[in-house]
Amino acid sequence: MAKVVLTYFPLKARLGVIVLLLEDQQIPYEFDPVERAKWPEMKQKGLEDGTLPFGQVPQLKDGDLYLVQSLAILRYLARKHGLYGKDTVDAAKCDMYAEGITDLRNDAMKLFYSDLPKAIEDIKATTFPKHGAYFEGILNRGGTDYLVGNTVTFADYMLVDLLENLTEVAPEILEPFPLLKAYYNRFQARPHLVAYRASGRELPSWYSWKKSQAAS
Amino acid sequence: RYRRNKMAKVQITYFPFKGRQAAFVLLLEDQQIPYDYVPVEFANWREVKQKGLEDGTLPFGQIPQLKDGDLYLVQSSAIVRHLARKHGLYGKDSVEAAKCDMYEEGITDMRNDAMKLLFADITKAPEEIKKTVIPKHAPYFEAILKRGGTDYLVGD
Repeated sequence: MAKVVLTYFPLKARLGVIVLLLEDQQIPYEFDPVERAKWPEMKQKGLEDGTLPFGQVPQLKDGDLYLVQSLAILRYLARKHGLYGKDTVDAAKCDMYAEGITDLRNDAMKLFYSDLPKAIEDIKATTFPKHGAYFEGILNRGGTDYLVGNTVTFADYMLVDLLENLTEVAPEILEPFPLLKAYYNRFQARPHLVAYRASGRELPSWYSWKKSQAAS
Repeated sequence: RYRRNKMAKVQITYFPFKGRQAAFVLLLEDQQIPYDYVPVEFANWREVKQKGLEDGTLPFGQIPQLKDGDLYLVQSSAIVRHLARKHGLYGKDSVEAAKCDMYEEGITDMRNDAMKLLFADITKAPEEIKKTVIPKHAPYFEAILKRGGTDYLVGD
């Protein structure tokens, strides 16, 4: 089983969820970081030869297959490694919750890069209270440790990655949602993820990178 | 004696316009898959939404919703994928499935760019879409079709 190769900037951003899955599942991979200065040339070449059909990274290379779009990459790995639910009904639920997570992400990220203080205020006051309640309801009705069924699926990695990003800028948002908070803490305590964070290989979030720029 | 209905009709619930149901209705009609359509009147929406949130059949308080036997599904992309999986419209193998997903994301990006303009100013939107969304995204799909060389986005 040859290693897959991931190409992206040295930031968590759109890669975070993919790496979360790979690390938690102990799937070997190589990371090929993009240097900012070389990006315009890389993008042009990728558009021309079709390996970057939308002129964007992240990109996954698996043998002859070049894949872009982070969620397409995530679904591909999920299908390959049995992380897409046990049957078609569970697969449909994974997809349904994946969309709900994307809706939360889109709402939260609306102002993130243009007006971060306002974004954080919105997340705390309206966005997270609204969406957090949906996921609290899903976990409550499901009654297991996971979003879908009894085992981890790619939808869990999506939610955990997003919660990681949001709690970094607004730590108390999980407080009104006991099931969601317990779910998140359980995931962060998974041994391979603990080891990954301790390894020094973890990529910085955009937020921590921005802070380090401001400090320097 | 009674007949088992092997392929019971799916049921779609949505407002009486194309909106978020268009993609999967296109699929159902083109594939001649039987379905029932239950329109929701705007006056009733609040009550429908509340009930759906409480009993979990509308987990995000939104429609469209697809009922397939005991499965209640929301989120239009999830509905499309479910029907695709069920009716062999997800590519012939996992590589083609990945390409379907990749192009779906690209289509969603284009849709989001267009919708942003539509919601910002509906009268200016057509011009803006012509000036920005189409020139940016259409070349991607032109190239995808060119490289693929078939009548479809993925495979044959």
